[in-house]
Amino acid sequence: MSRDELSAFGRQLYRALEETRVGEAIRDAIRKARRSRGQVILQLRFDEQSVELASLPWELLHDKRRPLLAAGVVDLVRYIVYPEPVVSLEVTPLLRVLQVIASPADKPPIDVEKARASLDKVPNLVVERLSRATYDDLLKRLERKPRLHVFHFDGHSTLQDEQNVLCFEGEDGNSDPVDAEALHVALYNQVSLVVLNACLSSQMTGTSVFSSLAPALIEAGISNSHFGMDGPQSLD
Amino acid sequence: MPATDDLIFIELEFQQSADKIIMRLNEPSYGDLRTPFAPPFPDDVLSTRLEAI
Repeated sequence: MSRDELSAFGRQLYRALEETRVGEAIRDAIRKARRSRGQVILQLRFDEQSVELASLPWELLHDKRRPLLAAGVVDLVRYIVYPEPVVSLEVTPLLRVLQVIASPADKPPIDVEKARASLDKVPNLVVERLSRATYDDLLKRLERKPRLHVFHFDGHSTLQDEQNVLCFEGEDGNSDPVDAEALHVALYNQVSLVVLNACLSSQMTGTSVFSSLAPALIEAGISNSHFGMDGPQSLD
Repeated sequence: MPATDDLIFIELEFQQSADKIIMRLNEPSYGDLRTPFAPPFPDDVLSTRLEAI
């Protein structure tokens, strides 16, 4: 898709918002942010039925002058409205993180050093890593103590039978797809926070927003926050 | 990254039923606004375009 087509797509999306009764509020906020060199944090909350809406590439929003996110005028957060209360995240001063960096041989290589560095520079973290990024090794680590606070995945995800799956490494070095249910089984009641740094991991599929990986974990009550990325992404 | 004081938070909530989508904005300056929202693209066009992206 060309840059012009992406811009047109973003303008169409913005127009759909602007033409409603809330358009004035959005325009005012953007105007104010531009004047003060501030930023609008646009929080989009979707109910369980809003699969298509949640799947829209809101990141492309374009107000005819410029792409709002790329220009830094707007930042975007997607939320899923879920009736269960948020479980509090109680931790001791050091967060213990398990970082799984999966770079299967049949997928484009992950920049492992960059992925490691992204957490190594964060203060107050104890970072553990698996020697092999396999699902079995993840299960084995979760059976041991000390207890982990955070599961952090860096790698690829893909679509399989219309469901998002994370690509762990298999015994043969190629990708081993792990779906939301398997992830739920592994992580339920084990960690308080899950970070999925993988393309497509937050992309909505199926008929409910809970059918993709990150939302399925929210439904399982595993974590307080998740980060996924729609579309192909680098670790930048 | 702007300072916290320069951040403006806008929260839009989407509620979808079989025949319509309601978008809700609840901001002190504007009150509790609820308005129908029309997705900008037909399903088939949307999926094709998303695939292209």
